[in-house]
Amino acid sequence: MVRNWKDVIGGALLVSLGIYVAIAAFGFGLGTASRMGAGYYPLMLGTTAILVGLVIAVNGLREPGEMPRIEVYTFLLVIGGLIAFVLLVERAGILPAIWGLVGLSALADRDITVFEIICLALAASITAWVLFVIVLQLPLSGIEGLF
Amino acid sequence: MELFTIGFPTALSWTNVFYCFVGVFLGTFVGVLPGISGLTAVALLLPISYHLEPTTAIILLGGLYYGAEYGGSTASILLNLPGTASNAVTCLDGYPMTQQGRAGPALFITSIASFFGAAVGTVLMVLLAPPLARFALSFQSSEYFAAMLFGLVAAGTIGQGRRIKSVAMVILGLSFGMIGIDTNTGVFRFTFGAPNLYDGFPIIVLAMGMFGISEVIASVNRLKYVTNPGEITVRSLLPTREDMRRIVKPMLRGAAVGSFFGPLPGTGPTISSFMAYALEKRVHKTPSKFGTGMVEGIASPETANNAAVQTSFIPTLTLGIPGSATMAIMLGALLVHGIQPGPRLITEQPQLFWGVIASFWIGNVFLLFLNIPFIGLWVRILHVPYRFLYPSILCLICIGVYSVNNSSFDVGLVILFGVLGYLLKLLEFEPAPMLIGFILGPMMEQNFRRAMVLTQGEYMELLTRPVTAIFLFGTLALLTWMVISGLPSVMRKLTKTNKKSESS
Repeated sequence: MVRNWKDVIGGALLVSLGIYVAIAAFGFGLGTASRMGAGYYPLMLGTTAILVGLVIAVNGLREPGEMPRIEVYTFLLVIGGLIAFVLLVERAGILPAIWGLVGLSALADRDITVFEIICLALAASITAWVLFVIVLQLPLSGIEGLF
Repeated sequence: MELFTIGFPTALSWTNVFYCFVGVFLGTFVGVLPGISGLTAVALLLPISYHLEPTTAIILLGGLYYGAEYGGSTASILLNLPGTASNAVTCLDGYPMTQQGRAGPALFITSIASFFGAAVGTVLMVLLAPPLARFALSFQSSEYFAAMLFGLVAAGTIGQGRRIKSVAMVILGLSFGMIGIDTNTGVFRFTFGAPNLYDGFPIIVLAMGMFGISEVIASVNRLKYVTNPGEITVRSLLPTREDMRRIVKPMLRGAAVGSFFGPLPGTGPTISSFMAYALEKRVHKTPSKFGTGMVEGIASPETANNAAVQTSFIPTLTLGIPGSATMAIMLGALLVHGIQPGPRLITEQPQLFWGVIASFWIGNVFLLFLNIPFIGLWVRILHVPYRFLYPSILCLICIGVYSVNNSSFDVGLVILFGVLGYLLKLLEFEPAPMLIGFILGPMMEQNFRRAMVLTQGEYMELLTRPVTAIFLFGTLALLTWMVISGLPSVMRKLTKTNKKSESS
């Protein structure tokens, strides 16, 4: 039997979020309707999330649908590039961080050439360095230890 | 009157004119390029707006938003690829016109229609916003709570895609909105021990991750637009007299549709353009001709989406309740400057309110010039391959978010939301309602708590205040409508499964 797995997964995720929020809400202190504690509203929200999630998931079980197709290659390269930026920006400076970001994420495109990647990385890093570090004075170095 | 005594003097200062131009120029730029939505563009420039005066900030971001509506039609007409979602319907008749060698008149007509829509929207804003704000002055926390609840439910039930899934996204946004220290009790909620989360996190982090990054991942290797739409000269732009005669009434109808759906929560420019197209098709003598390059089919939706963009500022600025995700970001920009949009905004910040409206006029005149004599420039921009664009977008996202708090923690959060956003895209959950939930959630909770203190915990007491009651019944009506309109398909499926199980 074909099922709409997109909705089943989405609904299940929402139900788990709802359960987590609702359980956490008890820890915040519920209070009363006239003097609400920090947990009153989260409990209402969590309960609603569980209900809505259930409706989506159960409907999904009854509907035809297909599994989503994931662009694994693109996804990993783009996310990898972003992680490189986070790791490098404060430790190594803005230029290496952008080289990492552009170098990795640009690889995701099938038509791009090495020459184009180098040009892009240089152009983007120098623009960012001039605009954000020199003009807007972000507390970052170009290359850590050098300038 | 204040428009001329306060508005234009503010908007005509050198700084404001400059940023208005930058806004509409970049807006047209990103509008022309498929793969970057107006929303992402507004989010990308949000960090820069933090360095500006609040009025200038909104002039810049507003210019981006309505500029993108102008630019968006260019790619729709020339390449059959919508520049932004609200221009998708323009492909239907715009692209056939290009195929018939009438791209020039199509571009000219959409620019005129956009300008007309924006003009009607701005006039309505001048006329409607002040009385609405005066009316809203009597609102207390219970009215705000009810209006916000209505807005949230409307954002979930009226928008695009499956309704219940949009509701789910509103709930997700509300949940993210809870992160941080509860201001009433000092309890830490969902901070996971991270000091960076004690004050919650800025809306830009959510917007950049959910829209910017997931848009990039979904577009790489998909968007390849190396085509030659041909030379467009100014002379080839001019439509025939027959064209001009045929677009007058569609533009009027489009303006009405856009102005109606613009300020309503959850609808906005995309729905407006589709509604306008549907209406045009219905009133036309030969509806079967639509899709073959009818000028009515591009004039009406392009008027409607621009009217909707301008009128969507009404609830945001007078009630502090954003109707769309982009408006939620604008509201976030004002909150950063310590300005709480609401009924007092017009009287307490007149230079902001009237200055922004005046800038709409200036910006739309700029756009008319940018889009008619300089159309060749935008056509050439369509040749920029996406593989050069997206790494630059990613750089802007990273540095932009970093610059808000000078923290790489925020950039890490963006990555997290990027992953989540891509997952939700795969699962076909539309992320826009989430931003509205995120920005309205904390305000709604505050007003809910205050309202319940006043009623001493009696829920029924809320209904004794007429405006509150109207909003609450409206909310109930929307929910009922959602359930009922969802029922037939469920019933059909149930009977089908029953039959199947009987036969087997």
